[in-house]
Amino acid sequence: MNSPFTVNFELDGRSVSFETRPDRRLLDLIREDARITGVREGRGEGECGACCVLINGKLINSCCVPAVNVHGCSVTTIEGFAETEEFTLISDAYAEAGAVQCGFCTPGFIMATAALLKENPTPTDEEIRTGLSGVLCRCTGYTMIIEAVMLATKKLRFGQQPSVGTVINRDTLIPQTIEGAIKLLRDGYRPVAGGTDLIVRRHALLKSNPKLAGPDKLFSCRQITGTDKIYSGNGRLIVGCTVSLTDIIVFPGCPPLLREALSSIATPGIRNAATLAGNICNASPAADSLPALYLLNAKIRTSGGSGAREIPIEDFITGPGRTLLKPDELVTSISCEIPTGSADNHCWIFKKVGTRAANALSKLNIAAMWQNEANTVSNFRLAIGACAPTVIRSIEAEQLIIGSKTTDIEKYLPECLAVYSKLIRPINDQRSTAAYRKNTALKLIDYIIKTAGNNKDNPS
Amino acid sequence: MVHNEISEDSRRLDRNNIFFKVPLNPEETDVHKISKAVVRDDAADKSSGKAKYVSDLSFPGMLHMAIKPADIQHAHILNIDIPKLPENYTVINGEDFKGQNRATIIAEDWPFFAEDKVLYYGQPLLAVAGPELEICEKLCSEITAKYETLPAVSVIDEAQEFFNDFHIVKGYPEKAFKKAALIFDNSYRTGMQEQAYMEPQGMIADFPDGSLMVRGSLQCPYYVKNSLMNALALDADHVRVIQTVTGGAFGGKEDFPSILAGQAAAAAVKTGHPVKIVLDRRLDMQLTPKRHPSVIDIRTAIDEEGHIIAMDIDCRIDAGAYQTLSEVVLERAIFICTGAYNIMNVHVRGRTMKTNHIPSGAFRGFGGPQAHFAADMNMHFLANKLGIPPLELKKKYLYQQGDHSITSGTFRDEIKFDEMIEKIEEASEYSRKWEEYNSKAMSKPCRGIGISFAAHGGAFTGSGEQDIIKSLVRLSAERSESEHYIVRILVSNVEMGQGASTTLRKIVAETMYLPLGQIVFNRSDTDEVPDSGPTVASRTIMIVGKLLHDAAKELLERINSGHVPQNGKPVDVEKRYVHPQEFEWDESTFTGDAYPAYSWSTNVIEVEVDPLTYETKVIGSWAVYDVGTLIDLNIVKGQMQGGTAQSLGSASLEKMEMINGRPAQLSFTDYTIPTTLDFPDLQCQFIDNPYRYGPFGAKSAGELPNIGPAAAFTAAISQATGTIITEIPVTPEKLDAELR
Repeated sequence: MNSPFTVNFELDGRSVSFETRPDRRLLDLIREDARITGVREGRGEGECGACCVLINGKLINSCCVPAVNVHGCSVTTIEGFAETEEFTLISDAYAEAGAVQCGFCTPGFIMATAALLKENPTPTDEEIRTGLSGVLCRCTGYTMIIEAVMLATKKLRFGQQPSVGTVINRDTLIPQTIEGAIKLLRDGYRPVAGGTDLIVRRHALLKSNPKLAGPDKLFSCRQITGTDKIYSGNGRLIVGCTVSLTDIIVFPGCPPLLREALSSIATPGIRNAATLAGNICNASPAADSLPALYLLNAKIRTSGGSGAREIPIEDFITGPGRTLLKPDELVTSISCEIPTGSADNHCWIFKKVGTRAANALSKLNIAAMWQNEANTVSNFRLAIGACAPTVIRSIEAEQLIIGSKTTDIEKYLPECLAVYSKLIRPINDQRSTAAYRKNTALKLIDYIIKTAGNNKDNPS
Repeated sequence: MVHNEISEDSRRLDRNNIFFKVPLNPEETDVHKISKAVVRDDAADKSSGKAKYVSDLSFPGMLHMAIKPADIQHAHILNIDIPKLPENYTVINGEDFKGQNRATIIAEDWPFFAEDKVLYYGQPLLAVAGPELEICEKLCSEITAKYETLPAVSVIDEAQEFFNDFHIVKGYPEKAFKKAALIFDNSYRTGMQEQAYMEPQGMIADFPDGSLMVRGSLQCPYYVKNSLMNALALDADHVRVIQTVTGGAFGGKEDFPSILAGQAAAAAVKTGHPVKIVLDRRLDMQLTPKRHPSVIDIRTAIDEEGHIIAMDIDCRIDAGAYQTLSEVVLERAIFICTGAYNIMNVHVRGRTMKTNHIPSGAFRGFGGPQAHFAADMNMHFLANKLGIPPLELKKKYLYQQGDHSITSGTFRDEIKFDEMIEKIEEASEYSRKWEEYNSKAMSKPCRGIGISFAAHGGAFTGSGEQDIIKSLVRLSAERSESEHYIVRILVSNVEMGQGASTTLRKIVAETMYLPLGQIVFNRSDTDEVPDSGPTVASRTIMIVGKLLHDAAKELLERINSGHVPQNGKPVDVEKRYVHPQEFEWDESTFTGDAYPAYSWSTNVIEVEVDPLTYETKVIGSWAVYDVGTLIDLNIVKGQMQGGTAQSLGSASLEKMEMINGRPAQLSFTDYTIPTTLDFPDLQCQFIDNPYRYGPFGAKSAGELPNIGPAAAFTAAISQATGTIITEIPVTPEKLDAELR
């Protein structure tokens, strides 16, 4: 066990300091230590959104955030936000539209509404639905909540953004350098970037089987210099290990295929915390970023005791939850190709088959890209997730398609499908069946190849 | 008729002006003014986070408690190995109930903690109470049990034993089947559904000075109280139950709170400390009852002219390991087993099958959704067989005033299906779209549209209101220092999100010509409120609201005739339920009026199916409801839309599989309830059809929207895919298997 860790941050405008465990959830700090009970726990898996707060102005599910990650941040809870004029306008709109019933989710909705309207003061119906998609309500069917937000937009104009916390308070568990991080790794500490997988899983184990949860030795990567950078150069996108999915999505140089894949992950409140490095290191066969990264020949950069490495993603991930990362290594950044070529002939498809329309885990996912020049398909690439222990990509099958004329591409379909059919070995689980996964993957591959033959612009 | 906007006046009155002189001008009130939406009294505190749910409360010296669930489905318990506990940690088990280790949930068979046998996976073996929750949980994980495994019944079709077996005959089905020119058989299935209230179940029990006090998230304070009295052998004066702000229930906090309260109470009695337990979501989903899965076989007789002349219906519901309230759920299902359709000759058999599953329990609709799904999809199936458009066939058989129900009761009030169909056609363009999509199955865009009809009987089944509940309400007028009156509503029906604290106050305010701000709705505390019955069965407005309406009239008369409340001397009026004489019911033969009044609905759902992945998307949802007079448009709309989303969820997204008795989907990650992006605006309209025995003409409303949408959705999917679907939820996996 650790010696106690002291976290300092700004909570609803006050400087607070708690002695706690580094892996303790922000939600527990807020509810139990700060006694702010308006932030509610409905699930504890980043699923229901009732615990949403603003961290440095961004909506984030506080059940996924470890204490070690809020050091020096500014956190606004519903009870702090309730002191503002913006709150009164939003909550009046909720009351007037009849959008409040049991009320357990309402603070989460109000925070999500505030975050949405700050970014986008005049959202469309679809944008409202997307912005609020991370908060679950079982009472209303959402129609009156959407009406409430519409009503609020008519009255609300946000003023200045709240101040961002600037508390600088060094702590060994929040290293500023790679070297500091490596030292912690050697001492048996594990890194946390966003926390949206790690903290959720850890909390569930602590509840059900504490033995499996392991020690609470955790450190934050978030303040390691340079890891929050995203940039492009030499035809590649480089993403630091603490850049949030949201920041990748809004980065102008992000390849559209990757943007689409990342936008399909979870909800705004999770995407604001989650990182690409975390999604990769979690190495779920169903991770939605992976098929796109496999196509874009992503490489994982690591630093560790024996120096830096750069590993192609298909080598880096070795199985479900397994990677080549050594215990004393840290992923520092991820790079991937930015496809070149004009928009006219660069085509891509990303399709996620999830368990529902938002905040869904994938039953399967598939990404493909190709170029179409003078009715010849070139550079065809295709990857399938959740259909085998790791993402499937077959150079053999791709070669069958590459170089074929769009008019006779279907000639190669049976052979191509036969290759994929051997590689697709899905499982039955609580989300779907092996039969469905296999049938659907093959149908989607068939559709994609036929689309590539149709000589159309981007079918997405 | 009604308007959706809120006047500045009503908001001002509600929020600020608590006291006004009584009475205001009587001429201001007309019968439907009450429908106008007001701002709910609880909206502000819920929005700001100030409202305190049970998880937000703590008391000095309070202990926490963790439950140890069995990790086996069916077994003899050979022994339970408990390591030495640290100081201040205590094990609670079945021996800690002085009265009985059984909760009273209609039947008294569900134990708080397993005794010699485990009957379902997750059944609580014991609990550990102590100062730190994490340590309690750790201790639970270290406790091991040795079992002798017994064969388990996991599938309803394999179940041989049942708790109840009922038969009802309407008309002469046997004779009719002999005359049949055609006979069709089909079987319909509905799945287990989780209530998924956002606030998990929670209780805090305390036992100071020999009196038990339990606070918690619950629907039925007196159910919990009675169960505690029986379990702990305490008399009524020594048990007090207080409802805390309740974050959704939907039936899920009708039965299980009696279990959780018992467990917490036993711990409080044993330790002498307040004991709190709030289930985390995984445990909540694992331990608590869900909607009964059903298998309903329907055999239909058609005569030479193509008329439906009889049905033989076999309805089995999965009661799980203990009976609890399943009998009543079954009754609701079989009493409405032909749905909203009048079939002249019917034999129905209903059974509550015993399996090694979590006991099934109450969920909004309570048997109605299962029965209607089968009945409505059967009409769809028959229309397909007979080559008639579904709406044309359904229209011919819709119940009309004067028709007889399955139990030979009479539909006494006007049923306005013609007006409802006209309205829903106009809103949804059902018939035009049905023509357009027909015979175009599986061609892009792959669309379909379906229509369903539903009926829901308000209040307790049969003579339950008269013989079992005997609802008692009290109004208490007090004089404030500023010489004005406030009137307290004292009932055991709770605000759980559905708006009862606002609607019941509106009924009293409107009756007494008082501003809403002068009516106070006390949160339910059994030491203060009389037993006006449970908050279930869509009875709160229809039955309790009517009693309050009558009480308010009497209180107004008494005040006007000089019985003015003085300081410290309130004027009270009580009213007890009296069943209207025209309704008759024989419980032994299930004959007569099973419900005093029915509410009616029609739903249209339009869908699009992805022909590659078989993912389904609802692209339109319309509904028309007859719930009598609306007591507040916004509140009723919120009920209708929320119920529709739950029903559509049950038909599409919400899959709860039992794998060897173990629920496979134990989180909101895997048990996917709808998000903002799953369904479009859920449109609804109302027709005006006041009910003569309801307050201002209101009748039952809350459960109705959970009944019809699932069948309309499934009919729409059936059209889009060209295949009659008979099982919900309709998952892409099932469509893939079906359509290959």
